[in-house]
Amino acid sequence: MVAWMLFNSWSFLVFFPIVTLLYFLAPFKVRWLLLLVASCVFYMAFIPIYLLVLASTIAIDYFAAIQIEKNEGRKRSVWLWLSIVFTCIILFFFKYYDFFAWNVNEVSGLLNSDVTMSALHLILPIGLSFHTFQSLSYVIEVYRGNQKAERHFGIYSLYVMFYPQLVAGPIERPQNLLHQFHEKHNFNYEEVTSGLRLMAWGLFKKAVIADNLAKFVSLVYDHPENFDGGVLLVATLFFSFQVFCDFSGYSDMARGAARVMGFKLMLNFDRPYAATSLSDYWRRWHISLSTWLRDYVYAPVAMGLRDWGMYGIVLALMLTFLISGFWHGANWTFVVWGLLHGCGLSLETVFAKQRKKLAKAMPTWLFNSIMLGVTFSFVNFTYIFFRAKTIEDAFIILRHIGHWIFPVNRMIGINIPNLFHGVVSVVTPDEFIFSSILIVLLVSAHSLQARVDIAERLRQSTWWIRWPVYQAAVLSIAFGGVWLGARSFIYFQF
Amino acid sequence: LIIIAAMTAIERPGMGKFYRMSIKVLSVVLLGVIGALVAYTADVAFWIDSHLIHENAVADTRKAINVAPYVYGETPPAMLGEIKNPKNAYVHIKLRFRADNTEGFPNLFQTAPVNRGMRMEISGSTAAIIVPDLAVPDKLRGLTLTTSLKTGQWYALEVEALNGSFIRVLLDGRLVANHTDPEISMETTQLLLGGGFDPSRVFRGKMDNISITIGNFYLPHHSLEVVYVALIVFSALFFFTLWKALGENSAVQSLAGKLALLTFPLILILAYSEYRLSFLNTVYYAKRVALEQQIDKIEVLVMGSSNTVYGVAPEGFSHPGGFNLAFPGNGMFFDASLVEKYTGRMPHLRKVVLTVNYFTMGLDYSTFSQSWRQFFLRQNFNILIQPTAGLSFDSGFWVNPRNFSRIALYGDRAGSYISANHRPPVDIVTSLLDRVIRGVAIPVNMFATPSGWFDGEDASLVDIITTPSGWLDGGDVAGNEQTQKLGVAAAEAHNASADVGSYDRNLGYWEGMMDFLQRKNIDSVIVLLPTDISYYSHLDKLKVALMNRKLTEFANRHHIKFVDYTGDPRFSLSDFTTVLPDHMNARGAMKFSKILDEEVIKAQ
Repeated sequence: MVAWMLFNSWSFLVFFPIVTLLYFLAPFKVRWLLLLVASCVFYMAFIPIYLLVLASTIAIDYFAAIQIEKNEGRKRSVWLWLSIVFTCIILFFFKYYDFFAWNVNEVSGLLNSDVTMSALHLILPIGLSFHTFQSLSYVIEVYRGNQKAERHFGIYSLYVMFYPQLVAGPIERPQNLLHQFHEKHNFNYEEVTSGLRLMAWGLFKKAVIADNLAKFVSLVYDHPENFDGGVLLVATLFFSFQVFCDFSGYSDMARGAARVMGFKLMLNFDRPYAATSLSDYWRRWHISLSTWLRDYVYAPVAMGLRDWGMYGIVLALMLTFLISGFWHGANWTFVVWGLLHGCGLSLETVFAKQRKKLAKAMPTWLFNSIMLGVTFSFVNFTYIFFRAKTIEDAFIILRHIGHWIFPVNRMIGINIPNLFHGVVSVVTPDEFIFSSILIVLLVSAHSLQARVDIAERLRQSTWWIRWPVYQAAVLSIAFGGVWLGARSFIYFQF
Repeated sequence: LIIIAAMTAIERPGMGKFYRMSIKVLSVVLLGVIGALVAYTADVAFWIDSHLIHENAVADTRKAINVAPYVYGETPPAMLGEIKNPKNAYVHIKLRFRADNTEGFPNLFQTAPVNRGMRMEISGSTAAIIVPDLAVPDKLRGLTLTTSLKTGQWYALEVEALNGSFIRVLLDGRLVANHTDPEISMETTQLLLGGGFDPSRVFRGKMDNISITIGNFYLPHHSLEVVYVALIVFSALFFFTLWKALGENSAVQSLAGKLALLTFPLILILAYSEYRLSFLNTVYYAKRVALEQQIDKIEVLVMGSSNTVYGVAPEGFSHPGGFNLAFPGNGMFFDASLVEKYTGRMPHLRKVVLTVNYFTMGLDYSTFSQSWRQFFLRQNFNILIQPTAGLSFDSGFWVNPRNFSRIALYGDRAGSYISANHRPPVDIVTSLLDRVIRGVAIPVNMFATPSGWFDGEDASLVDIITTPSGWLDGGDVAGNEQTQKLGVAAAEAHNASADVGSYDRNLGYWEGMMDFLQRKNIDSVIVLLPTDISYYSHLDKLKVALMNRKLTEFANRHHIKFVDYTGDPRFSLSDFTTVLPDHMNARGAMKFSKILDEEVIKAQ
């Protein structure tokens, strides 16, 4: 079988047109079946037997939702919690069991206890955290009465398994996606071309920007102890653009692939590095997850703790981002990353009034620029924990960066020529310059996008402007992208 | 054009279903034709040669020349004639020389007078190759071979050069020059050994053990260009019919048209790259050329893997008509496929020597696919892919671009190869020897194991240039202590990969071939080649015993001979290459080929 069906792989280049062609050729009645089969093929390209894991989640939540709708009172809650617990057990077993066992063994060692747990070394089913959350979203919405339970098992399965967003989101809400499987989508030229453009932009971000930046980032972050703070700082900065292009690239391709077939998936990224506060950042970054956590974790907890005032909000935020950290991975680095964001948002909430005063006291552009810089720096700082392999590595990186910016014998010790020398000892000068140009290109595109809708403007422009731009895009993806030993998407591991 | 005109002429508004269906069917057929042409480009070119042109448009004109020893003052410089077409001109000179006087810039050899050809010049203690090269400002490149040449001392010299491609020189078995350059442009009008372009440059010394091969390696394959033209025509026709077929839905038609226009420059660049890469030298293409040339003269066909490529020299047989059709790492499935496909066209074939070894016999090739082997065998010999064990349909094959695209196959080296006409030959022994000399560690797992250095993704193995009879000269350097250590490592690696479960499966591939050969009344013999004791004594004895038993049973069942030369006492470490003690060097290969001829080929 195919080892892996990445969106940036040859196998997907074969898979996608065939499925799309068959989708439009097939009668409406069997289209759901076609998409379901295609989604199964897509998923089974990883580890076929794991389809059963996904099927069990689907079956339980499908059945639980119907029971919730049928029953009243306490029974509804019982079914809801049964569904949540069972779905989470699967997630825990595959994703956190080894982490749990490792921590038990560590604690046991510290206490000189004989208690040990063996690791299972299970390979994590791709996209497990994504479809678990999507499935939970459905059951909770049925429980809340916002969504009718889906009676068509095939359609419900497709809601969880729809291949464009199966392995890395966006984590869709049933109100947005489920009804679309019941609707007939005819071939629509505008939607198809718009979807293809979105896919191309996503592929550019992934193959050209993210994978070129990854060459440098991986080499540095794999052995951070070998590099000085300047190089580590550049690697962290590169990583912030890498992870954005990697994940938002995937999301764009997912949304584009769905749009080609007439489905509308939610926007997952909205220029997050233009955020002027952390709360603004979380309204722009991985929107489907942040709204999920807001609706299903933060809001209920904050509501439950409303009598605690500010403490309740801080506690709710910390809990939400603790879960967010764990959701990202079974590693303390992600937990620290989540808690740092929780702390940051808590501080923002506590000092909200002072912030408003400051905003009034300064020109808007200056305030926004400072806040943008502070937010971006903080997000970059947290990325050190996100990207480091271990907590120890993260502290090595922080120490090296600290020594580089504030050397013992001087207050500020930034040395640009030495920095460039250090950077080009990792990759070639050409590769470094190319990566830097790509970042500038991305930032420029985002700045422009803030003022005009680039895609729309391009669509309305004359052919002799439009076509060279499209041609340049196609050729730059083909020749600027990293195709050999192409990297998997970072968020696939979650 | 006729089809397009006809389709346009008969098209009318309201044309019936039949017309629309015909166009759809035609576009599907054209797509199939395009796919077939892409998948079998080289083989189709050979088919055009033999069926439409009825002659070999592409020919390997290389020939070995026997030259008597040279002694200054006693024998004149040897005139070797010329290679008429300098394009793809190939020169391979192997000799031993001793310079007695190095004053006056004596030349060991030249390919053309003055600075128009390649020559080897000595000056004092320096020896160098000088060759015209359009890439350097003064149009002349010097490759220093040594700066410590001593008069009165014997040296073993091997010079191999291909115009527009590479020059490789070994001095005493050591690679001293390996220059790749598409701008190498030597004239080949006057090949001379022992002298230069004027009498003062005559070589003052002795030369013996002279072995020279000159000629055109092969010339550009015009039929290949015909195939590409056909591909362009069919592609244009396909898009035209597709356009017509989509006429029922103007939105889809518009989308298809725009997508075609959008991707046209990219497709053009990729197609040109594929076209250029298809002219690169591979041992598969070269052997197909040689096979087509010699097919009606072949009497003895030798099959096998790299041990055989190195170990069996048809030049050592007592009669001409031997041909070595072995390929590096070739499995038994491919041997059987080649035999069944080509022996029917060999009217004088009387014997097939089926060599096998511990590695290939115990390997499950369905999990050791090596895309380059599958690709080149399909392209050049029309050999279908080896079925993956237990799978009736291997979807992994169809979504692996390396099975269909040379760009994907050559990876990030494709860019540099596109500008070259040939790649430099990188044979196993020389490259490994070079690593040993440079002090680069050779990993234990480098041997042909599924996880080793020679694993599927390295296509450099196919760069080798064999003699016209298909033998690869493994050099004259004898094995040493290092070789013995590598022998142990190789044996351990092969023990790890040897799967006794593959014995029956691999022999199963030969069943059909044996029936075929017996129907054709062609004799066959199974042979295990000699290997050094450092290698075979460390093989898993149980697995070896089982392999021998299986081979004996197979041979008995088909009434053929099975000869095991594995531990033949006539072979010692000096008969094997320095880095692969299960591969024979030139001395070992000649010795073994004579033994094979006497004891197996003539005896039967």
